[in-house]
Amino acid sequence: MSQKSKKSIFGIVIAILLGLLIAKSFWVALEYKYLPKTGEDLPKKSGLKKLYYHYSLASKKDKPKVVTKKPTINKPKVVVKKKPEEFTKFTLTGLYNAKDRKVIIVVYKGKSYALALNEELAGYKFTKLFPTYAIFSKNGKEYKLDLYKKGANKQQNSSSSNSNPITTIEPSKAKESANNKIEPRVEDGTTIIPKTLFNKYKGDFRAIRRNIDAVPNMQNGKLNGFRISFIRKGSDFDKLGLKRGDILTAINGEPLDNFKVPLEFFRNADSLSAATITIKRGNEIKELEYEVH
Amino acid sequence: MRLVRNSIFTLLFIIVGFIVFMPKVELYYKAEQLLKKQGIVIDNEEIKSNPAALKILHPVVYFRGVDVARASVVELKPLLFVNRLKAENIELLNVAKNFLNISINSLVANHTIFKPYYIKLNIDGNFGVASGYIDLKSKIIHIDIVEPKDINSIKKFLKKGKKGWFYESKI
Repeated sequence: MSQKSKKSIFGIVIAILLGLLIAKSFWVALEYKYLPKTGEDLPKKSGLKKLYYHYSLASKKDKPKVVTKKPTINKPKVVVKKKPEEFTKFTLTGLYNAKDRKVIIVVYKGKSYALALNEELAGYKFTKLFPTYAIFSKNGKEYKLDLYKKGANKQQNSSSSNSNPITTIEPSKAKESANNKIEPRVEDGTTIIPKTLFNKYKGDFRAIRRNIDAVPNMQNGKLNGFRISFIRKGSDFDKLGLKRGDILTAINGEPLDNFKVPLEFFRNADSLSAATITIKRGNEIKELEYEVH
Repeated sequence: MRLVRNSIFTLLFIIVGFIVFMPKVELYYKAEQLLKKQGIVIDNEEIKSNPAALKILHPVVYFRGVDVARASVVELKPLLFVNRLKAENIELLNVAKNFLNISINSLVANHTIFKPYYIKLNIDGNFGVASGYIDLKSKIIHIDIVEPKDINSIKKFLKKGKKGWFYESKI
């Protein structure tokens, strides 16, 4: 190979390397200065929060034993309270009512206990759970324990001389009969949303929009809820206590700062047993509480 | 003469180097960052990069937290002068599906630096075959349904023109 062609090849190689070097330097500088090292992912949220969670407050010593024995069938129609004074310190403070797990929190002698279904405390077996009360049984008798509500004691005292939260009921009355209804209804001051109502509207956004419409409510360029721009009178949504102009700010404590939360609410409605909608009405913040079953 | 030849080689390999050494993944992250400002997040994706292309596998597109679409694969070929994006098996989800029940087998978008404000589109979906463009200058998207199949569900979004059904909207 002549000296001339050697020089020529060397020149080409240098030109190639120079070209590649310039390109690489440019990208390295850009990458170092302006380009991010990681991508943007969706913030991982667990979805819609359930209102009540399973937890155990009872210590090992006090932990109620699980009774596997099936409840007795022969129950008297009217149960007479034998020793009502035994239950004066027995208060239902919380409940978790899901398909697969039913747990209640009761206060007994100043201590809190978490009872799962068929667990026993002070000889009383927790046998059934309803949205606002629990049923205990002892010696073939059933006892209804209402969910403790703040301010309810005064009313209870005035209406009845007995302040005992446990009252007897007829077993036949323990069965819920209103499951076939599909409209929201008020029972014992609590708004009940039948699950069938969710099925009615699930995926049918047109049906929803025929009854209610909401627009994103922005604050400083960020979504902070949905303002109800229209609500049909007498519709299911009207019966939920919502009004035109209300700003929905949270569902089950989950802030409505994105569109996913309301969608998740409809998607997971089957698994919910209770729901709370936080609204801003004028300058007032309100919490609308519902039971779903 | 030698100087001219070497300069051409240098220039040529600058271009080759630009394509080969392009930090495609980091540029994709930058694009994600810009899209996030518009409320759009691409999640669940697996990124594969080679000297000529970037492959994004099974991405799910979220708009303001709601999953609106997913694709099986999106391939980007940033070749400087000609850029190409090919997405396969696009499926609309959730609310988007409620409003627009379509699925797209393949979507090809071509862009060339010689027409910087113009993106050519070719779409093959359950509604038929469509072609169109995005005009970035006048911010218009225009799609002609070239071979319509089942367009009943999307007719409300379409207009009838001389050539047939088309979709046009401001972006």
